[in-house]
Amino acid sequence: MRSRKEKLDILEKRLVSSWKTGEAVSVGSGWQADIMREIRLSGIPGGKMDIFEDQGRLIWRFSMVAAGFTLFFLLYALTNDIMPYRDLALLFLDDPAGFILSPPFV
Amino acid sequence: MIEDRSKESDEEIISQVLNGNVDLYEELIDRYSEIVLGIVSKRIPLDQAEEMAHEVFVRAYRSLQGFNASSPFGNWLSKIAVRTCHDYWRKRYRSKEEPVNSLDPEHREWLDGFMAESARNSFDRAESKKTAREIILWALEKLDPGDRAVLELVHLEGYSVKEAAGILGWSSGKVKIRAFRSRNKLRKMLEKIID
Repeated sequence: MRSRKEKLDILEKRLVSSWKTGEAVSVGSGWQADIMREIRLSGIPGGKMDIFEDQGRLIWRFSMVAAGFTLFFLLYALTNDIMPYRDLALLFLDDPAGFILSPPFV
Repeated sequence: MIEDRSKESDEEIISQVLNGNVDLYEELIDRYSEIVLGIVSKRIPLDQAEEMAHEVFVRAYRSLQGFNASSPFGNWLSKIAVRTCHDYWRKRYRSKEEPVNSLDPEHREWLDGFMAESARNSFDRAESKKTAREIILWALEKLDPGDRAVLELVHLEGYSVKEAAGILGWSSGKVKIRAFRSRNKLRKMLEKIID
């Protein structure tokens, strides 16, 4: 009588060997012609289509650069006292000197 | 007049394709369609193997400039075929198109017969390759695409960790860990179904 582990090993081996044998696939008569039709439409390899081949990777790289720029400008804005909302408010109130928005002297 | 291209090497054909003789790519399809179909038919549901092989050849064509003649074209193409199948499962896993079914009564029956026969050391007589294959495919479908890809390469096909890492574009360490974990998952799954 075999142990449970041995049975599992045998089953695993059996399934692995069945996977290796696979099944033969035959393709339809127009299969090759369909590929060639698509290829002819693509033009010569290395043209414009290749630029988008690794779209995902490009987007991630670009997002890292964009995040870096955002961080840089945020730090710049914080260290250089840039307050766009205040500037906009001053413009809207037609008060370039900032008399209205300045805190009152006590 | 039809020219005989059979004596031309893959590299010669590729260089002519890249120089604008696109029609010559058909010769490469002739040479490698069997290999590509063999790879995809093991990994993808059979009814989609033809379409997947089509995609492999189109992808290979679009990346043809990246082919490095230091390794055989067949190896390069096989890598694209494996990755295309991996992408198929990733897309399918993300969209979760179809829920994974439980085992059919036919599979259960096969397993019961197998376990009973194996206890008497005569399981070979009870084998049915097709059913066994359906069971392993059922189990693979339950794994996530990364586990599935690494299990297929390392455990089912016997590629080395280094080779599998090259094919999947992963580090050897990652392949080693994933191969170990995915095999454990498979065994746990098998354990459950024979209970």
